[in-house]
Amino acid sequence: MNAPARILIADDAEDQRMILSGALRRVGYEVNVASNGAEALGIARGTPPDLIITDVLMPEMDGFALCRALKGDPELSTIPVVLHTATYLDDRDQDLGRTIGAARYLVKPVELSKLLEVVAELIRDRKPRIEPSPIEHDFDRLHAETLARQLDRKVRELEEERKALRASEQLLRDVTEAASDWIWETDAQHRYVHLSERFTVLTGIELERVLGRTRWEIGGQEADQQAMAENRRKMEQHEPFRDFVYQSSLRSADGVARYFKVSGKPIFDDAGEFMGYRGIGADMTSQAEAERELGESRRTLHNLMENLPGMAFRCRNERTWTMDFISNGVSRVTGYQPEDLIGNRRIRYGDMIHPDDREVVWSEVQSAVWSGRAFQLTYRLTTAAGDERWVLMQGRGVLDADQIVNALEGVILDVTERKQTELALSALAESTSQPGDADFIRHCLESLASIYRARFAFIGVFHGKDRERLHTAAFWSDGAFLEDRVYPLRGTPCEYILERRTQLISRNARRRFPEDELLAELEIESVFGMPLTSAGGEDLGVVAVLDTKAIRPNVWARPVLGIFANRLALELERQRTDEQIRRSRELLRLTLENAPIGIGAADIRGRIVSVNPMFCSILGYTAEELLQLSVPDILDPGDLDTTVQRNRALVRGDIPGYELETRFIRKSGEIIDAFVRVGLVHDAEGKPLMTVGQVEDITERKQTERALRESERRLRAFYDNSPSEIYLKDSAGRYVLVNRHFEKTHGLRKEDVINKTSADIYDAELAAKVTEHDDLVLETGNVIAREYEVPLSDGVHTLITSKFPIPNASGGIAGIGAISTDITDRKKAEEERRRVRQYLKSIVDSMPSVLIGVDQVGAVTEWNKLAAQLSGVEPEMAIGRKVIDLVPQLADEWGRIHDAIGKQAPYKLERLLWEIDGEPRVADLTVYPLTASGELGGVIRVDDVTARIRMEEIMVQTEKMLSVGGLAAGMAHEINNPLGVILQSCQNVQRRISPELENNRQVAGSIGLDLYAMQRYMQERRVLGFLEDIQDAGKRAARIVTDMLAFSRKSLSDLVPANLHDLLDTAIRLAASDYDLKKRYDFKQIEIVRDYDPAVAEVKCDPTEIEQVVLNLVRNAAQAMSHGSPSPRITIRTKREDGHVRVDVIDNGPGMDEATRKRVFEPFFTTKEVGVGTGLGLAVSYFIVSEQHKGTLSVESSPGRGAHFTMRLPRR
Amino acid sequence: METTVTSVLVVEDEAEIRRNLQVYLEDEGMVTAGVETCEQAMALLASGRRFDVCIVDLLLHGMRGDDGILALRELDVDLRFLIHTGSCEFSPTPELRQLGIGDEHVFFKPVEDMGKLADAVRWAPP
Repeated sequence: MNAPARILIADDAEDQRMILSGALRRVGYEVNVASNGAEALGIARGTPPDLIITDVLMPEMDGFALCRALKGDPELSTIPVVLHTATYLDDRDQDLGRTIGAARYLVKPVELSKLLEVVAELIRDRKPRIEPSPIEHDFDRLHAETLARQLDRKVRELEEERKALRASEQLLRDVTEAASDWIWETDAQHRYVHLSERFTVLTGIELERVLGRTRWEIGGQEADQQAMAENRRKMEQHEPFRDFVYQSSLRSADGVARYFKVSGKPIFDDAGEFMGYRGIGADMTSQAEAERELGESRRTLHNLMENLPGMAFRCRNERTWTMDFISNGVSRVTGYQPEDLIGNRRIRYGDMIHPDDREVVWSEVQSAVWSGRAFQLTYRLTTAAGDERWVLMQGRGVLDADQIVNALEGVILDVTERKQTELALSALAESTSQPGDADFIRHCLESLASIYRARFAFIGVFHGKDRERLHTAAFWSDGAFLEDRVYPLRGTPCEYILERRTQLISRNARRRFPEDELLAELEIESVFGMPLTSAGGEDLGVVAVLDTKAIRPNVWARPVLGIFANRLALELERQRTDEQIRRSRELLRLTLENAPIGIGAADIRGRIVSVNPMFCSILGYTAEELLQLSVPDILDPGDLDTTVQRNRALVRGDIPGYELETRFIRKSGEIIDAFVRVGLVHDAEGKPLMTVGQVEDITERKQTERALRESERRLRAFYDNSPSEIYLKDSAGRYVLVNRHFEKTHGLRKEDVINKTSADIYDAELAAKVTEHDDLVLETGNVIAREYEVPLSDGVHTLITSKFPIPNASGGIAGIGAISTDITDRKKAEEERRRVRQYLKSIVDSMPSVLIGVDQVGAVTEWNKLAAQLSGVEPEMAIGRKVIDLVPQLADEWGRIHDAIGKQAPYKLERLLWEIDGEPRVADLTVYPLTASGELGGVIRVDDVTARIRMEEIMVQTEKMLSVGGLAAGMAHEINNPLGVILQSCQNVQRRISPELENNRQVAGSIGLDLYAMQRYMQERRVLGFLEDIQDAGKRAARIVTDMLAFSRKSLSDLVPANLHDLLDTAIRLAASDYDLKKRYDFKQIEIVRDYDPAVAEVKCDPTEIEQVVLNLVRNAAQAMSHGSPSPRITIRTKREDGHVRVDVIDNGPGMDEATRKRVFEPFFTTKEVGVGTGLGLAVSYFIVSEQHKGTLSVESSPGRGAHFTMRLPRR
Repeated sequence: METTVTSVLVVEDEAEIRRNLQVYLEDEGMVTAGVETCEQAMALLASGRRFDVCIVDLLLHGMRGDDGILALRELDVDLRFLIHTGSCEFSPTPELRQLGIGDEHVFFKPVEDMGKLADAVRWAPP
């Protein structure tokens, strides 16, 4: 079905219509509404719905009638009808509903979900569920019976209604009995043209008032205009109609507007022409009125029933209280539906009554009904949810024909609220009127739990200042008190309560306060509580009731809890106050008993009335003895007068009290010094009651005082004459004593200083410092010494002040004492010394030499920065240690150093070879003896001269090369010519002895020489070999000249960028082929390791020259390793450095000694066997790198450790 | 003037060298003459002798070799030149280059293999 199903709702209650239509529209149904059956019928005929939901009790046309009308209409009979009624009356109503074809009979309130389910089901299964009733004629009977039954019930329930209904019933019956019809006829214009006489008989209205008028002209103002219009439409279309009931404007003699019911059929002539209508009519006035009244009283009853704050009931007079009827209100009160109770289908009412009340209720009711009285009593019911409700039941017995009470009827009202209020108020009255005692709080809690019907209640109070936890003062749980517990406040409802001042958490308490373990433990669902507040507004704690189910608050819930809370707070306060009083009394008693001074009381006549143990002990009497004596008995007679006078003044009220030193006579006759403080005690009316005296035995103190005074005098003389400032301060930093020197140096008088603080006599900065140190002493109790720059009368002085704690009698610190010494001069000297020393140290440190001071045995006394760098030992670690341990290189020299110190003669050693960090360095060592401090010692100075030496070497070398260059340029020409002669002569000789040349053969033939024989001869005798030797020598000489000329060459200005790595590879390749060729040894055996830095790219150079240099280096390395080096290896490494490109050529050959290393770049210096090298290769390389490329070429080597050549070319 | 045999004039003040060159070239089938100075060479040309190629030393008594080449060229525009010098570095001057004398025509003493010199004579610039 694509179009939404259409549902028609008929209900006279507008809110019901709205609720239903809203719910149905929400789920997608199309909904029409009608406020009564007739309207519903009209709508259904206009647009047939898929389902009709109708109320039963409605004005105009009720649900039953509607259902019947629908089922009687062939077009509408298949529409399922749901009867939806608020009033449950009888099972037989359901039967009636089914009989007339209702699909369902639902009792309000129906859960919407259930209703929707039913609707969906019916629409799905839409088909005629029940055929139109075959017993149509039974309807009226059944309908009337049903209504009558309903009425019967209701009438019985409410007397007034019953009377009215009975009258209506009678009327209805009368009318029905007397009913008969008249006949009417209209013309084609629907005007009445004929009415039978019966009309006037039945209605009392003259025919003339009707004839000639149409029906709609006589229709009354109150008539249903819509129905009238419908009737008119039918007549104009010449349709027959039946049982049209309308109210007319015609009134009978008694002034009643008459109702008519008419049925009619159109009449046509033979030609089929419409002639008018003919039909029968009946007066329906009484019937309609009765029906209208009936409808109204039904509605009233309906409303009454619905709105009853309880339920009406009728039950059998038996202990089970079997219900024959119980109104719908039962569901509101107990949660059970009427059908649950009627006939004890689900539960017996008797079982719902609280077990404690059952017997009482039964006997009360029985005694009332047997004596013919109405009963009225209040008792408890248990609801479906297990709650307890209070109900008020009123009713009476119903007598059967035999005058036997076989039924009870009446109303049951829910008075829980009222009852609870009553209980609460009485509990409140009881609790709050009770005198406070230990159980008061428990009483209150118990009452609280009971009136809120909660399982738990507790009072939590704060202990002292701790606001984080509550201590329960009482904890009611399910009828008993639990042990008190401590309840952390954070994250609990109590915290919330304290914040909000009152709080009701009616459900889900555990979910809202997941941290609260108590809630979890007791499975609490709801909490209701209030803070307990003292009269002063201080929170003392919390009172709360808790339950495992939701609490339903009512109007008095808050005020009552409020009254309890107030009362409880008062009680808590009272208890606290009592406790305080009790404690202070106890304290007072203990104080008196244990007081270290004597306390005694005497009445105003001087009789001793009370003494404490100390008083007895001071005077040497027992308490009993003293209570027999008067004050004058124990006073020294010499002091009696003074005491008596003072006492009189005291009693008169002239003075509030007095104190004096006086003497007492002990029981032993001994006289003691005492200090007495006396006060007066008044009685309740304010009259003097007694004097109370405190007595202190000061005999000993008196003696001590005298001794102290003497001691203090001595001390004062001592510190007043001290050349140091001495002062004492109390713990608040106030001066309590300053000596004379202090006054003098500060230019202040004692009076200006005493009771002042540092802040009063010094500037803020100094005062803060002084105070800080004072506090340090006060806090730690330590003795400290601190320096201060103090502005004194003659300028700023440096004082060193020793501060010490002054202990008080109890072992605490009463204040501080201080003694200051003026160290201004010392300080200045120290400062100067430090400055000079610092100055010297920075000079020594900035020296570019290692400077080490040593004593005679070689322990370090001075150690400058370079010494630290050299040794890696910081000065503070070096001082005092043996110098040869720190600088092992000095170990060999120590003998001579020691001699030099001993002889006081400087000693110098140059060009020492040292190894530093594995690198050979050259150092100059100088020892200067010292005698400054009276002891022998010396300064060892070490200068690293490696760089200088190297520089010198370089200069010498360059110098040599340049001279060689100059020489070569000068003599090259002169040498080349003879070389030319030698070489060319050799060539000519070789050619001319060759038999291959024609000329040679001719000349030889002419002189008879066999050239071949000569050739062989020359071979045999090695003549040809000699010639070759001559040629080789000449060629070598020529190369020497060429090489030497290189030194004279100027540096080339136009260097070109070249790829260094390509260049290196070329050189290596050349070196390899070079050696392969000459077979000096196999270059392939040498492992060549290339370690190229990718950051090295192009270098500006003369590529041929640099290639030559590298070739020289590699060739040299290869030659050096030609004598059986095991696993020979040459590493060629490049590295990009700041401003340079570095090329290392490293071999693992035999290396060289220092002497060789130094000369390796010298021209003509060679270690190779004669004829292998020119002695110029490295020299030329050096020249190329340093002179032509402005780079450097150096070598590091030592025997057995290979050679490491380093070339650096500027990157530019 | 023969056309089949190449004639070479060697201007060289050192007799041994001069002789060596001449011997070698003659052994190669050429005709040679030798003089000690440029002046003598000029005289020889002035007397009507003609050569295909002239090998000139640079450092000579009297006129220097490079100047001599220019002068000799004045006398015989067809004469071709090779330079044979004891210096270690020499590059033809622009004037010489105008005459077609390039680096390949310069031979530095000692010339280890005169065969190359002989080849150069055969292929000397016109």
